[in-house]
Amino acid sequence: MIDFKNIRKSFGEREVLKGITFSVPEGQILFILGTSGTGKSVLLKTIVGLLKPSSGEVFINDREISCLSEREMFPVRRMCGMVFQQPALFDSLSIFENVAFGLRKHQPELDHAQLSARVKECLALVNLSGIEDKLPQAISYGMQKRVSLARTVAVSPRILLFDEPTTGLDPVTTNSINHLILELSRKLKTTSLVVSHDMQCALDIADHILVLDKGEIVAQGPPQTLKQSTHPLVQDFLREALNAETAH
Amino acid sequence: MTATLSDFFVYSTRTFKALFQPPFRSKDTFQQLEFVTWQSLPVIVFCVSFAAMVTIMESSFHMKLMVQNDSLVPGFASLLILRELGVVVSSLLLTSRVGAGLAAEVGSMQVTEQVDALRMLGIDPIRFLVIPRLIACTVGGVILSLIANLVCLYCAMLISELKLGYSSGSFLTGMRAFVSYKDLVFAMIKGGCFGTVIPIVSCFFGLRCESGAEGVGKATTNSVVVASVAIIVMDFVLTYIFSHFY
Repeated sequence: MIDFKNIRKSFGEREVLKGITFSVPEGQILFILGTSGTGKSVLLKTIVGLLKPSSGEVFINDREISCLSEREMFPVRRMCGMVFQQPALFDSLSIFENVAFGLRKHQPELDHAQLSARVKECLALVNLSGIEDKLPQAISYGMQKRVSLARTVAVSPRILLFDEPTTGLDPVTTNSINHLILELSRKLKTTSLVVSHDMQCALDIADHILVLDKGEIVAQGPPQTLKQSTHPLVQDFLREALNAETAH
Repeated sequence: MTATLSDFFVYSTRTFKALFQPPFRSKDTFQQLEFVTWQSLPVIVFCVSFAAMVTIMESSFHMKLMVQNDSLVPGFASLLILRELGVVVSSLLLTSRVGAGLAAEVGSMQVTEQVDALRMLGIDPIRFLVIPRLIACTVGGVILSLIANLVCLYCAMLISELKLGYSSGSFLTGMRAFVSYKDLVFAMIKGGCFGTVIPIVSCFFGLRCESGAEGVGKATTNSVVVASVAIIVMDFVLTYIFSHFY
């Protein structure tokens, strides 16, 4: 269970989050929608302490984590996995080493054969077998994104955070990533928070949707409820989703 | 400005604490040492050679002008080379080559969220990125200052023989009258201190890098400027401290 209580975050004079309060029950998929620059990624990063809120509290399983030091955050981050907006793969390491990176740190008891098997399993999960020896720059952007997902899943997190996982990808890869999020969340029984612009995808796979505008929540609820919303931004998103569906 | 200084203080304290905490990334440290020392060596040797040659020729010209005699040039020039020229020139070259590279590398990692990815995997970026570079630059600074000084002295000796007409024997005799082993030791200490400043400053700016190519460029420029200024100021402080030991 993740709880946000009156979270505010400012960068200098600019207030990006203006008192955000919401909860995510365990095992649910929450989509956070909004236009660019509304504080979606900032919100996601406050969960794992990559950014500290200016005020307010974040609870994970009833433990307040926004006041923890960098060192105290490690166990919290241990149960979270984050797929960043960019692939964020380590350039100097092979795909195998990138996926194995977190495993070596968190599960040092694994021998080479077990490690290798786990890496292959995770890469197969994102439909990327046989590229273990390549360097990140030798594969496409879409493949890098999927490797990033494999690296995140490898350490078996209980909470998955996706920061615009499909931005910059072609429709086919976007579709496969979206289904992967659903599959992983159901299969691994993780709580997932997905930051996205894609209303269609949110309507398809989210349990709950939250729409942010200028640092405030303007609408939230299950997909069916959100479809009834009269808020102009939600209407814009719904129209966009309808257009996309018609185009298909 | 105050916030930046306070951040730098906190970051430096964390860095020095992390220096003594295992695990030590020896493989990375040796790779960085090779990058700092071996790969910087050609440019440093090339530049300090010319700096030494210019120093001895200028010293001779001005001494002849003022006292119509340049017999003290080998001694004076050797002293200047050992105490200042070799170590400061090599450190400033190291700043522009290694410092700029580190700031750009760490800055790119920050911008592409690789640093956040490290933190998410429970790895402290200071221990992972800064410490191997800090050790490598400190050790590299000592080694390079020693090599730079020896090369400088050799070039000065060569020029004084070819251009000023002093044999190598008389150059060494003149040098011995002015220079002691302490000068070489202090030069190496200076080299180590300057080597420590470079990665600390560069990684600090890299880790604070703002997004985009402009952010990386700004971080790189700031790191080179601040590290160069820090080296010059530190040189004054160390020279003042060492002056009590001569």
